[in-house]
Amino acid sequence: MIDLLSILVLATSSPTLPGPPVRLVLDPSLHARLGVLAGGLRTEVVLCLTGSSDGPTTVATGFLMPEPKASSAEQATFGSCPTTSVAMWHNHPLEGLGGTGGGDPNTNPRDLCALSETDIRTAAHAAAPFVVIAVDANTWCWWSHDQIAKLDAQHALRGDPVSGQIESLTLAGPRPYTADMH
Amino acid sequence: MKGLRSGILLLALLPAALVAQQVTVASSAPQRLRVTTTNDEAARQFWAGVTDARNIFFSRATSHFDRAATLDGNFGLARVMHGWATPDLTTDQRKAEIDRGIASMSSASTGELVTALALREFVAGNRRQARELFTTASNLLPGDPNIAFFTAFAQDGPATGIAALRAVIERFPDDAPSYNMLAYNLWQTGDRDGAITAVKKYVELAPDQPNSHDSYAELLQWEGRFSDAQTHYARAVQLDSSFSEAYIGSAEVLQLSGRGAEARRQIQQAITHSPSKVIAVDYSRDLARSFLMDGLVKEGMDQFANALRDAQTLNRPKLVAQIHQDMAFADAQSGRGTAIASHLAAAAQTVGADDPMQVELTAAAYTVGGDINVARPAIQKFAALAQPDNQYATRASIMRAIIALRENKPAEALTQLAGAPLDDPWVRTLTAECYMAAGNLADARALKNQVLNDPQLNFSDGYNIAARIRAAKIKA
Repeated sequence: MIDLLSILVLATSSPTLPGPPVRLVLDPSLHARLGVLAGGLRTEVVLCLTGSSDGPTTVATGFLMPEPKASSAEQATFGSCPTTSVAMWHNHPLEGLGGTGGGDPNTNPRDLCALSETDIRTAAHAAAPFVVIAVDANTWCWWSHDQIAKLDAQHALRGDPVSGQIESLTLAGPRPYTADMH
Repeated sequence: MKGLRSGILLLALLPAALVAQQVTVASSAPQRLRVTTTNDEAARQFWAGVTDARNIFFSRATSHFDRAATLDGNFGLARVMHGWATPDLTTDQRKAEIDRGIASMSSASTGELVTALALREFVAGNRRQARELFTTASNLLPGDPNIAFFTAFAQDGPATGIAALRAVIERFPDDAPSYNMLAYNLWQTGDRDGAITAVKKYVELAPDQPNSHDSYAELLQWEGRFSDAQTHYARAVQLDSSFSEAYIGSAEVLQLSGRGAEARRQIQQAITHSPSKVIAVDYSRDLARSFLMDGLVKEGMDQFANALRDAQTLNRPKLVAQIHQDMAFADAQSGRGTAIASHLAAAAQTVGADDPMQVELTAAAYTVGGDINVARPAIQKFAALAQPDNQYATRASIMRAIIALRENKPAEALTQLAGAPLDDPWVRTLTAECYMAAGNLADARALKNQVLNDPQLNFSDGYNIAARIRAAKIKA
């Protein structure tokens, strides 16, 4: 009986601590600006999204760019984001996959909306509660810090996009055939 | 208590303090296969070939791989793919082409090399080794839908294949070829609705690939929706007239609809548009079977003779032997039976008398032809090949049932068929004959119609077609 009472007391007296936000929303204006950037960038760039949280939802409204150290088509090193950032954004450029790059020119943007091993390790140790990857103007996806921490704990080599956390307006990749190839 | 709260606060702040001063991010693009070539056009042709090969358009894929390998003589993976995809190569020729490709991959990446080795094992029929190598390639390139697809493709059996393909689709939901494979695997396990849903998704994702329409058409055909099937077969050849399999599909629907002459015109179209002479020989065999299904024995045998001549010209001894086996059985089933021995002897010269197919066709031809004294020991030899997990036992029972029926012993024939799968067209046909002999016309007619109306007609399935020809003769 005492034990039961103790449990009840503990359960009722502890203030309910708010959990970390679990949902990321981009303000329409920010969404449009980031889309233009992702559609035009040919090297990787890191941005720190700013905004505010309201319970489980974080709304990103702006961004700032940390100090760039290095930026290529497949890797980038930037200064870290301020701890007040609501998300760390970076892009995986689609451009340059074909041709002498040797990659499949028919790559579906959706397939690049995935965390690389480096992304997982980096994001797991970053303070931002969310990580966003953008591939082109229409394709972006996000993960919460908890989700990334789990991938990191599993030593995952890749983090696939999570259902409901990817936006891709491209239904299928570009058609591989043109008349001159027949 | 205050001190404890401060401690908690410090702990909460600690992660922020440990945050790195800089962050490094990297693209997931390197997790995909990249090919080693300095020639942009060669790379473009290669990837177009991969897309076509995964969409079962091997003839067009072959021309892309050929072009890629020509543009860059050191493009080993293009040659490997060429060896794998070219429709009319013998196994030895495939192996030689793949080995040649691997030999030129000195500067290729590990991912390319492992993929090439996996394809070599796959072509050699070493599925387990192929699976292991594809899995390794998948681990090296976890973001590559092509490698994930090949890994699933190399699985044994539809149930395993379905699980593997669903996993690929979960990760790459727009990977059209995976839906194609999934559709056929689901059909094989009896999930027809799931198969149709999957093939519709395939068409949605790859509307410009002839095979998406051909696959949809085939499943519609198997559902008995002939008109819809014809629409999609027509769409497939409209997209690319060299996609000759769609003409054959259309011919199957026409044959099932009782329009044999039109079916044969479609098969002629397939021959005209055939991507290779070897494949055209197979289409000639299809043409022969269409004639035989319509009772036009002379015309059918003439087409087999044409196919035989072309196969000899192409110096394809195994194909020549198969056509001799076709002709031996057709001669027996037509009731003539004068050329059984000569055709079987000609086939045996290439494949040997102990080749399982030769043993089976020898037994089958003499059984159906009615030479019981020769048939009995031949069946015995064939039955000795039977294993619990293969079809030989069923087929030996079928042959014994045929002999029992010929000897007017329908009860004995039924005993022979007991335990044989009733979805086998020969089991159905012979059971119908047993019912006929017992005066049970209704059940005989029902079984006969099941054989004749089965929409899963496949002109290259001589066993099934021979059962249909026999069933058509049942006067129920």
